[in-house]
Order: sequence, then C-alpha cells, then structure tokens
Amino acid sequence: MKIDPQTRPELLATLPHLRAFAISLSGSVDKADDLVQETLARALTNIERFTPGTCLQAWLFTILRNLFHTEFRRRRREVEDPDGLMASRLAVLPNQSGRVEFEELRSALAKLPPDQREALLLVSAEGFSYEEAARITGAQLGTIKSRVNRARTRLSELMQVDDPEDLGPDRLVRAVLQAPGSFR
Amino acid sequence: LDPQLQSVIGEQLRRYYADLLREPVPERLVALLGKLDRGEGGRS
Repeated sequence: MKIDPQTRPELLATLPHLRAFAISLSGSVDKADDLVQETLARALTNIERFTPGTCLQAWLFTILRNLFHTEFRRRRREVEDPDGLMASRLAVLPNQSGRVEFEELRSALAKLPPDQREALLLVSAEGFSYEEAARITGAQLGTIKSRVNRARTRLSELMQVDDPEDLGPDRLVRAVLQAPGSFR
Repeated sequence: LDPQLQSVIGEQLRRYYADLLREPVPERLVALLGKLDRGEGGRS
C-alpha cells in the first residue's frame, strides 16, 4: 500500500512518539521496537480505514495499544497467572536504556496495572486529552479519569516520596552510587 | 494527594518521556516504512 505523500511526513514524525509510548508501556526497548514494527505493518495494510483529516497519531496509538494488550493477555494465560502478577513482573525493564535518574520512576511505572500505566502515559506524558485517551483505549471517559488518578496515587506511593525535595540531587547521587558498574 | 508532590512526580514523568522522545528511531523501523511503502511487506 502506497503511503499518501501528505501522510508520510506525519507518519515519520509520529515514530518517536509511538516508540516512547511503546517503551514506557512495555518496559522493554526490544519489545517496544517489535510493537512499533507490527503497528506500522498493520497500519499500512489497513490505511484505507484511516479517515484523512483525523489524528493519525491517535489512530496509530490505538493499533499499538491493542497489540500490546492482546500480547499481555496471551502471556498471562500461558503462564496461568490469573491475577497478572507474574506478567506484570515480567514487564520489569531488564533491557531498557536510559538514565539512572529515571530508574525509580521506571520501576514504579512497571508495577502499575497495565490499564493504569497506559492511561497515565497517554494523558500525563503524551499529552492527549481525557477524551482522546478514552477514544484510543475504547474506555469510558470516567474510567480513564479514574485510571489516571489511581495511577498517580499509586505512583507516589511506590516512589515513597514523603518529602518532594527527596526527589532532588541527594536521591540522584544515591541512585548513582548504588547502580552497579557506575564507576568505569 | 499533595498537589506539590503530584507536580514533582508529573514533572519527572514528563522529563522521562521527553528523554525517550529524543532517542533516535532505529534505522530498521524507518527502513521498514520504505519497504512497506514499496509493497515489499513488513515481515522479516
């Protein structure tokens, strides 16, 4: 399927966003790149279903999150893990690149239930409106709002921040000191 | 929840995400787009 000349630059501009969303949703760069690859393949096979003039980015995010959740449910069934505990632990970030500064945030994100993590990333990181996030996930507006709220609450509990200043340089220094192999 | 705390965590989340957005997109994904566009299929 040929890509419309007007769609091409938009598609390229969306790639970093799709990838950032996939990495933070799946917790793994490798998994994320597979997800983005599959998303592009599906999008271009079904490009006639895309309504020109609507948000291409939202459409691609919808495809990607559907792929992610299908995979997540499949894996959860395979390991007979009805509560998803194992599956959510498996999502913990062994090969994610990035700075030590965000180590704690990444690990807290990985512990959120996938629905909450997704809602938080769409609204608070990617900057979609609640309405757009509801359309992307196929959830009710109220459900999205409540997922974002619960995600925020849980995140701050997980990060055990009693004092906001605790997120400052001292904590960063400690994180660096504790990181294996940080002195080379 | 403490609004100040919320904004600290929100800010950190945005910086983390901005960091991810700055990462270069792997060549294989850009190349795939070209392949798909030429109708060569996406599966390797």
